[in-house]
Amino acid sequence: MTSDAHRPNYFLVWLWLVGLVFLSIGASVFLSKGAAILLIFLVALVKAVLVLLNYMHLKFERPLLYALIIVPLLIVAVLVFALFPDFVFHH
Amino acid sequence: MPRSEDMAITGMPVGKVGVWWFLASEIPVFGGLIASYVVLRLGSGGWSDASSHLNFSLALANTFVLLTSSLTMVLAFAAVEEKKPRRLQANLLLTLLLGLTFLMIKGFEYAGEIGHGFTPGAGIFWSFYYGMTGLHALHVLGGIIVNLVLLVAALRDTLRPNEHRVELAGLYWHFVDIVWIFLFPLLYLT
Repeated sequence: MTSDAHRPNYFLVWLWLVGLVFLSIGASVFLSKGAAILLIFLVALVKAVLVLLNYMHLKFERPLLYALIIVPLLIVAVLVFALFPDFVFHH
Repeated sequence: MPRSEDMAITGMPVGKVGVWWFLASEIPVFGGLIASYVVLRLGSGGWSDASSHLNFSLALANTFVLLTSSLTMVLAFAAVEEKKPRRLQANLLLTLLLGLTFLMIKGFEYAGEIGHGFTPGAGIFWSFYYGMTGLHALHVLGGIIVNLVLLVAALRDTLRPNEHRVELAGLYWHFVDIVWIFLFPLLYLT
């Protein structure tokens, strides 16, 4: 739970999320493919962190919850690196 | 039997720890699908051509619908803390309606794609597309059902002893929003 004093400005977070959607679309239209993909996924990451910290209140939670999230993310990262040699570098 | 608002050994309510464990278990589910999509796409060509047949406008509309539903969901949680039952009911109803709007738009999008012959068997891109968005849509449906149960309880004034469940439902709803935050660029922008 969060107190009034600690509560984020939810509407401002929403405005940021909407603005970042437009930034992604702009990147896909105006940037080269490589730069666009990099920026688009950086923006997606920022949006996910904004939701996690502000709407899911992770910034007010105990560090134990961060550990709970990081472990499955590491599992997914291991999966990506394990699959890379077979599917991307096999040509 | 511990109640969901009882404190766990972690110092957090049992219900909240339980929901976070559930969400942590969902990360490999969607993460595995997304990871497989990314490596297969990087390893072979032709995916951009297939994705160009998707309806970008409908997906963009759905992105705004889901982002807005996250706002109304967190405002429902704020209404619980401020002890404003009318505002809680209104925001739960809005979240529910926005969730239904998302599913209706998605259904309309599917109908158009299938009508053009892009079925799940039309190629590997389409298998991934229907697999990932279909699983996500099922999660949206699950969230709608949870929010409906909470809304009915709020309208009957029986939610009060269990108002913390709005926060737990919100955690799940925001997670579903985060999944879409990654699916949208993966499928529609690259």
